[in-house]
Amino acid sequence: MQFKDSKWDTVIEAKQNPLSLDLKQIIEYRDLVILFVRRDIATTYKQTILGPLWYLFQPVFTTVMFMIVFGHVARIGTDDIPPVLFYSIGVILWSFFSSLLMCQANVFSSNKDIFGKVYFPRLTAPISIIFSELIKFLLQFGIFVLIFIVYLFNGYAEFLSPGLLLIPFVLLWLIFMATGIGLMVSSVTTKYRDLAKALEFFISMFMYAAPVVYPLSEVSERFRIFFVLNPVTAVLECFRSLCFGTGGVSLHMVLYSIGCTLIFVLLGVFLFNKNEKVFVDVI
Amino acid sequence: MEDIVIKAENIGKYYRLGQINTGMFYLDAKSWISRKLGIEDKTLKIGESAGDRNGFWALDDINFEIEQGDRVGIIGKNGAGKSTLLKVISRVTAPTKGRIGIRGNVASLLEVGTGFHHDMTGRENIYLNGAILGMKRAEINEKIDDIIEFSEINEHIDTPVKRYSSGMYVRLAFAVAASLDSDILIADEVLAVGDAEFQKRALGRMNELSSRQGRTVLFVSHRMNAVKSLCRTGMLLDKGKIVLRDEIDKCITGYQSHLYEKKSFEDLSHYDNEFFELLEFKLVDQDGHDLAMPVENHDKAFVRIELNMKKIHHAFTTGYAIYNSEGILMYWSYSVDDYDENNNVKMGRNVLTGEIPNHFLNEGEYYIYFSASLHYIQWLVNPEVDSPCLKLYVQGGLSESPFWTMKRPGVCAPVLKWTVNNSGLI
Repeated sequence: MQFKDSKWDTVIEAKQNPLSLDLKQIIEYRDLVILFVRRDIATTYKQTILGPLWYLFQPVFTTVMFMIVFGHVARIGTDDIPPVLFYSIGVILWSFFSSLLMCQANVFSSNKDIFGKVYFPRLTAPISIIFSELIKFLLQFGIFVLIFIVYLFNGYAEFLSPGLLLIPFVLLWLIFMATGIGLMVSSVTTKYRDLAKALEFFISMFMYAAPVVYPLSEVSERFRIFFVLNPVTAVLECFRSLCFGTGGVSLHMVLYSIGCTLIFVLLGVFLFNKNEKVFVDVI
Repeated sequence: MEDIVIKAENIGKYYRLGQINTGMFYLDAKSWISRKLGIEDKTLKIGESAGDRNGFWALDDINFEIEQGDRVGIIGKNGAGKSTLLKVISRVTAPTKGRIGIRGNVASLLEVGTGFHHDMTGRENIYLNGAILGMKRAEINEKIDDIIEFSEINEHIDTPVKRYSSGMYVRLAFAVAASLDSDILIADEVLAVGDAEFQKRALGRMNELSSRQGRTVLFVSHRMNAVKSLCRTGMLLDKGKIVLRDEIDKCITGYQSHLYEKKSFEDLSHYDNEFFELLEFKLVDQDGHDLAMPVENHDKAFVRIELNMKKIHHAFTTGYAIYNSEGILMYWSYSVDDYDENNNVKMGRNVLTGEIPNHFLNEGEYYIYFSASLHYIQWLVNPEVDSPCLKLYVQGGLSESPFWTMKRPGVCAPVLKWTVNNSGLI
């Protein structure tokens, strides 16, 4: 066919490869990604008193709450990790995971006005969400790093280990997992809007099913299998064991969780690509 | 062959009519299972068959080529598929079948101001909007002064756009879009916003872009004057098909006469469904005779609908929709508007007569489409999709006043009540 030859810059067809990422185009649109990130960050706290300080208050207060409720009242152990470090990293990681997942799940509905009017590589939207959530996370993570350093110089020097260098990879793993799940859900929420509400509820429940406020070692043998089957468990435990050298994470759990993550991402991108072609007609 | 920039082959776009699904997963699943098992689908509403959900082809086997530097006006009445075609070319939605090859980059002005964020300043929005339309940061840096100048926003450029007047908002948005360096520019009703002066400037700008810089323009508008002044060739669409691809003047004439010829009355049997059979749809005068054209604006004219009702539904409505020659909907009128319990249709033969108001329409041609529906449930005959059409030609009799005997500008031409009080005033 004459469509195959190189004289066309763009060929629009009914069917396109549903796993294509079209990275070349996304790189072409990198300025758009940057501007989306700036829009998200700059406008979230416009017309508020404290502005971006809210990013810092949230984890600080939640950590204090958890220390009181789970540490002092419920007396759940923390694997001998100083409670403030244990809870703060749990809170920060979990809020990153859940808010990234929620944003990805709503990517179509929150962008429907632009998606319906102009073409640009749609994957720029989820990618920019990753970056804006990552920036929020890094601000919060800064608090943890400060506390961590204070402890390093006050009798916990053994926390300093080469394992800390692996932290970026664990973060990447968490990002992919949240994005994969989020994109999978996003293609369904365009059709059934109540799913977004349901998801919000499930995520808040789900926090108690993952080792956020307690370490895996506190879970009795009988129930442990459910926690091991939860792919988020391995990420959280891995993170803690890299920071504190504790925790009961096994290689099997890690491989299982990474496998799940790959499936989530592939399926998420597949469904996203399939959906972005037609969702304009649905929403 | 070398300078063909857009080539479309067998483009089709299928839409499911009405609701895409029931919106509830449980009902969708039930409906899907019923269909698979071949049993009656209980989620269908009364009087609805599975075929109603199946939908229609908004674009049906479209083939065309567009040369570099051409300015193409895409015309056709509402629902003909114009906007769908532009959406497919600009990749907002994917075609159901067929292929389009495009040479060069495409910028679409489907709606100005897309992606503006209310809390961000004009300047920030220029960058964001520009990037959404496909510009690079460096490109915008280069052009930002021109954009600000063209938009006439000047000192307000660093104010959040939510404090802008709607005029400022539109001017800024258009200025960004018009600064795009695209090879192909797609514009859908962009001129429908803004005041007359802005529209003139915007049209001038588009003219300049295409004639001086050799860009290809695809333009959709219901305003035939704008299409005529901007475009060189035209593409006339009807029910998802291209009926004419020729010089713009021929297309506009074709559009106007096409609307008229669209339906002859031999095929009224086509409008036969489980609720009624359409026996007659015509314009009559006071005495019930066929209306002689043209009609003077003070002459009585009536739309006469004769139906053979086969099934009574409490939500049944019928009436007509009237459009002017530019495709603008003047109004809808239903027999139940003038509500009266005794006025309902009954089983068997019914004759409904609706008056067309005197001294309301302006001079010109009007197209009257038959309409019938189960109110808020489903269309039986949708005036925008597939409906018999009558042509009404109004000329003369505009008013009894010696000051108003010729056509005036305006969509309608009412003779309104005035009082002049001067007795007892100093």
